[in-house]
Amino acid sequence: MKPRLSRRTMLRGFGLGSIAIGLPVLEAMLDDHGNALRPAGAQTVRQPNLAMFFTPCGVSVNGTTGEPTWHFWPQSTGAGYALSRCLMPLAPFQNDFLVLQNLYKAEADRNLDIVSDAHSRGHASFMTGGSVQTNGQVEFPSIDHVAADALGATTPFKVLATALGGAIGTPSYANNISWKSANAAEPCERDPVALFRKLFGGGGSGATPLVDYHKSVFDYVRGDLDRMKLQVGATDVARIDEHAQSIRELEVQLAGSQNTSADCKTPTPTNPAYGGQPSEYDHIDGSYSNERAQAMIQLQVLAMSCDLTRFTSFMLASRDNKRQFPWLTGGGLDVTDGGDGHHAISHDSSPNGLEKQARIVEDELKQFAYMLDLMKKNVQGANTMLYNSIVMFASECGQGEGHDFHNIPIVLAGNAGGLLKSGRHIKYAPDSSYSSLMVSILNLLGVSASGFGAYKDGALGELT
Amino acid sequence: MSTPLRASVSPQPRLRINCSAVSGLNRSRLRLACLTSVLGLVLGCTSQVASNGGNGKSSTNNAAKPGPIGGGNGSGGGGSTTPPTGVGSAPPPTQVVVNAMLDENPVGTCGAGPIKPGGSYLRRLTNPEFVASGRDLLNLPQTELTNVRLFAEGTSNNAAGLRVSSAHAALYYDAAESIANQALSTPERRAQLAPCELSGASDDCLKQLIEKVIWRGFRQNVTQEQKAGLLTLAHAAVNAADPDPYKAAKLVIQGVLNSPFFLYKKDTTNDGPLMPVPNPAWKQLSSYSLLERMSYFILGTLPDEAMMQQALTEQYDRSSNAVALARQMLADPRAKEGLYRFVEDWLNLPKVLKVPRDKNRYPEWNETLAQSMLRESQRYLEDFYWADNANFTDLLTSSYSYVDSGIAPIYGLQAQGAAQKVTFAANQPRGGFLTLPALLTLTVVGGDVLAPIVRGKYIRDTFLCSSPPLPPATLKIPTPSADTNVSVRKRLASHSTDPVCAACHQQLDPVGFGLEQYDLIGRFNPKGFEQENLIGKGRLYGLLGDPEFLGAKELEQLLHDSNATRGCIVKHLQSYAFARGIGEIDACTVADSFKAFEAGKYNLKELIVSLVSSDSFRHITPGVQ
Repeated sequence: MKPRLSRRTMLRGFGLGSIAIGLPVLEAMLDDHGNALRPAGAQTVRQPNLAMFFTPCGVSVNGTTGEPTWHFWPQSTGAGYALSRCLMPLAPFQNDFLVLQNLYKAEADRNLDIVSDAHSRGHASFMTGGSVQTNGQVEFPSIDHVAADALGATTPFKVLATALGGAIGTPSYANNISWKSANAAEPCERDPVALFRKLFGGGGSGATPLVDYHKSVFDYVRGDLDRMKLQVGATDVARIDEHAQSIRELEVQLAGSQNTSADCKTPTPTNPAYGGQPSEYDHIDGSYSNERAQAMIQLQVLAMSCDLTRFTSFMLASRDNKRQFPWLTGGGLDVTDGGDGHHAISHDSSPNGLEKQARIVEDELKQFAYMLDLMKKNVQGANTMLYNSIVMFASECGQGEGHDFHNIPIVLAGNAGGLLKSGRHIKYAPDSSYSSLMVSILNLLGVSASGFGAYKDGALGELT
Repeated sequence: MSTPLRASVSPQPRLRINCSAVSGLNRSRLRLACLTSVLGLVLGCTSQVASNGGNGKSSTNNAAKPGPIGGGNGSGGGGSTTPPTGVGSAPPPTQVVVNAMLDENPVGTCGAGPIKPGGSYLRRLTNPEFVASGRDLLNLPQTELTNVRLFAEGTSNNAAGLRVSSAHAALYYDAAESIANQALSTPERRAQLAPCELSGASDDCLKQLIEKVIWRGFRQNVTQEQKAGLLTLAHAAVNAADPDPYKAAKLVIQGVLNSPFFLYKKDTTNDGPLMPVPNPAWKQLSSYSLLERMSYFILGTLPDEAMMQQALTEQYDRSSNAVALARQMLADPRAKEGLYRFVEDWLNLPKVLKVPRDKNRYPEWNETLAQSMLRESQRYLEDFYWADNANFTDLLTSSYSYVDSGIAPIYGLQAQGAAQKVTFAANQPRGGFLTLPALLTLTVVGGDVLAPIVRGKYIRDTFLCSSPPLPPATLKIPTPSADTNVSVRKRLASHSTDPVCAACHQQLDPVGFGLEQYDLIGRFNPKGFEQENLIGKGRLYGLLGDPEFLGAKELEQLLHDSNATRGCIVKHLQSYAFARGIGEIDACTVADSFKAFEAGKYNLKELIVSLVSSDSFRHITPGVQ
C-alpha cells in the first residue's frame, strides 16, 4: 500500500491559514473540505481535532486516609491555582488546559461478573461510555468514531489509533481504546516506523508501480464478497460486510490527503528536553521508551496537521505492559522491580511507593507536555493547533491501589477553537459523571448529543 | 526440520481451554470443569471462607455438572486446617479448601448423550496458512516468502479472533502483489502456471492461467462469472498499457489471493441425501469442504491438485474415504509442518522469543539463546508428534534431549556444535518437556516471585484444561514483596495460609513450586538466588488424592499417567481442528476421541485419523454458532 501524499498540491482556495480569528462568523463558515463549521457563535476556522492520551493505573492515594495525595491533584481550585508536583512539566501551558476533579467513571463498575479484572474494565470504558461484554467486546463505539461518523469524516483516516506495547495475549479491551463498534477494535499501530509508513507511504518491496491497480483488484474482490454472501449463514454475512467495509476504508486512505500547508512536513528528531533517553530495559515486548513515545506523539500531531485525520488516540501503555523506569531511579529509590513494574508500584502505598508513583505520573505528564508543545508550535492562521483542538490526558482508573474509578485524573487541554475556557482547576461535586465530559467534548466538536454510551443525562458544566 | 515461517508477529492469544472468567481474545470458554467458587467468597483477604463439608476426594467417576462452592465435586480433601491470617480475636479455625476439579473421566462426562456437531462459520486463514497456501498454489520455494509481512495477530487459529480490517486488507494487497511478482519471475515458473505465452496477454492464455489457479485457490467450484471477473481484472493492465508484459497475468494471481474465497475456509454442504444423515438437524459437509478442512488441519495448507481431482469422484463425505485420505495426508512430508502448527499453538512455543529478562540477574539472556531453546524444543517434540508409533504423552517423561552449542551452557555441558542427542541418567534432574529450557523460560514474564504462579497456570491450562479464574475485583490484593533477599516461598506464603487466596492459588503455586529448582532461563539451580536448598516440593490438587510430588520429573509422571491430561490433549486438538473453543456440546466428541486416543496408544496421528472420521468433523448443525 502506498498512500499518496502530495506535498506540492496547491492549497485549495485560500486554505484557512490566512483567515484571522475574530472576524464575523459569516466569513468563516466553511472549513477546507467545504463542511459547515460548528454551530453559530463558533469563532474558529477549522473543525477541531480530538486527541486522546491514555495512561494506566491511576494516581496515588494515601494508604492510611484514603485521600488523594497532592502529588497530582492541585490543592487550590479556580484560575491561577498552584500547580501540583506532577503537573509541573505542564507549567508553560498552564493557561491552555483544565484540570478536572471528581469525575466518576461509573461504567467501569458495571459487568463485574463478565470481567472481574478492574483494569480491563478501566481500559474498555476509557472512551466508549460503557463497559466490557463477553467475547472480548465492549458495549459501544468509542468517542472518536462517534464523532467522526456524526461529522462525516472525509479525511484519509477516519481515526488514528496508536499505542506503545504490543498486543500481548490479553483480551482486546486491554490493548485497544478505540472501537469502531462494540466488537471491532480499530486496528492500532504500535510501531513508529510502521506508523510513518502507513501515513506517508514510502519503503516497501520493489519499485513504485507506475499504475495503481487497487481499484481494479478490489472491484473484483467486491464481486466475490457479494457472491460469498449468498453462500453463507446469517452471522457470517456480518463478517463479510466488515471485510467489504475494510476495503472501502483502505481505498479512502489510499486516495491520500490534499493538504500541503506548511506545517505538514517530515518529522524531526525527538526533543531530549522531555527526558527521552532510549530505555534498554525491556518489558513485555521491549517497546516502551520515552523516545518511542515521542516519536509516536510527533507522528500523531503530524497526521492531524496534514489533515490525514482529526481524531487520534494514544495508549502510552496498558496496565499489562509492566513498565520499568530506570531513568527515574535516584535519591535512594529504585523505580524498577524486574516484575510487574508500574502496575505493582501503583499498588504500593508505602511512602516509597507513593514517591515512585509520583515520579511516574510526572514522567507521563512530561510526554503529554511534549504533545502540547508540538501542537502549540503548530501555527494555524492566527492561532495554533492546540488552540483549535481538544487534547485529553487521563488514566483508566482514579487511583490504582483500590482499582477505584472515582476521581479520574483528567487534564483537558486545548480550546476547541475558543469554546473551551482553559487555565483552571475545576473541582466538581463528588461522583459527577465522566461520561458527561464525553458529551461535552462531542458538543465542542460540533456533534449535537445529550448522551454518550450508556449515559443519557447531558453535558458537563463549567467548561465553556 | 524446516524453520517455521515467521512473519513479524507479536505474542498472540492462543488457543485456550480453561476456567478463567476472563475470556481471551474473542474466545468462548470451556464450561465443563469450571467452578464459580469465587462468587461465594466473602470480601477481603483476611476474611474466612465458608467452611465446606469436606467431601474428601476430588471428582472421579461422575458425570455430574460442577456443583456449588465447597459441595459436590469440590476437592476438599487434603486441605490443611489453618487459622486464617486476620485481625482481631482468633476466629474458629477454618479449613483451607482448594476448589480444584479435574475431569479424569471424559467418557463419563459425555454420559449417554449423542455427538453434537458444531455450527458452520467462516474461518480466515491464519498467517502461516496464508503463506503456505500462496506458496503451494504457485509452486514457490519457502525461502522466497520470508519477507511477506502480514498483520501481527494470526498465528493462533481461533476463528472469532481472525478478522479483516483495513490494515489487514492493505497487507494482503501488498503480499499478493509480491507473491505474484515472484510467481512469474522466471520462464520455468511461468511455464508451470500456463503452457502458453503469458506476455502479450492474449485472452486465451490468460484463461488457461485462470483455470490453473482459481479452482484450487478457492477450494470449490467456481462460476463463469468469477472467471470472467478475473479476466476483466487482467485487462486493466492492458488498458493502462503497463510496461510490464506480465502484469495482466500478475493481476489474475493478485485477484485470487485477495479474494474472500481464498482468504476464508468455508463450509459447503450436500443438499439432498446422497448419504443418509444420522440426524435430520445436521447437514453433511461437501467433499470439497471436507478436503479443505482436512488439508488445513493436517498439512497446514490448501489441497494439492491431485487431491482436488480426487474430491470430484471420491466422495470424501464417506467416512471410510475420509480416513484413507487422512492417512494419505499424514504420510505426506508436509504434514510434519502441519502437525507442528498445532503443537506450536498448543504449547505457545514462539513466546520464548519474546519474553524479557532482567539483565542484571540473567545477563546470558539474548535472542541467540532463545533461538537455541526454540530449536531444541522443536527437534525434541518431533519425536512425539511425528515419529511413527510414538506415544504423544511421552513428551512429558522421556529422558533425553537434543543439545546444541547454544543451549549446552544451560545444561552445564560442553559446547557441541550442531545438536546431538544427549541422554540423561535417572538421577539427573532433566528429562521430559517440563525440564526443557524453553518451557521453563516462556512460561514466565515478570520476576522470580511470579514464576511459580504462572508456571503453574501454564501447566494447568496446557495439560489439565483446568485453572482458576482471575481474582474478583472486590478483593484487596497486596502485591507480593519485591525483597529479593527473601525466598519466593516466603513471599507467597499468604497464598497457602489464607483461605481466600488458597482456594484458587493452591491450584497454581504448588504446581509451579515443583519447578523451583530451575531458574528463569531453565538452568538447574537448586540454591536459587537466596542460597537455600530448593527441593521442588509440590502438590497437584484436583487429581485423585491431591498427590504430593518432589521435583519436575515426579510432576511429569503424574501428568503423564492421568486421564485428565489425555482428555485435555484431546480437547486442545479439537479446539485447533474446529478453530473455536470447546464447549459442552463437544462432550461426546471428546469422549469418542478419548477412547480412540487410548486405543491408539496415545499416538497423535491415530487420534487425528479418529477425529477426522467422527460425525462431528464431517457434519455441521446449521444455525448453531
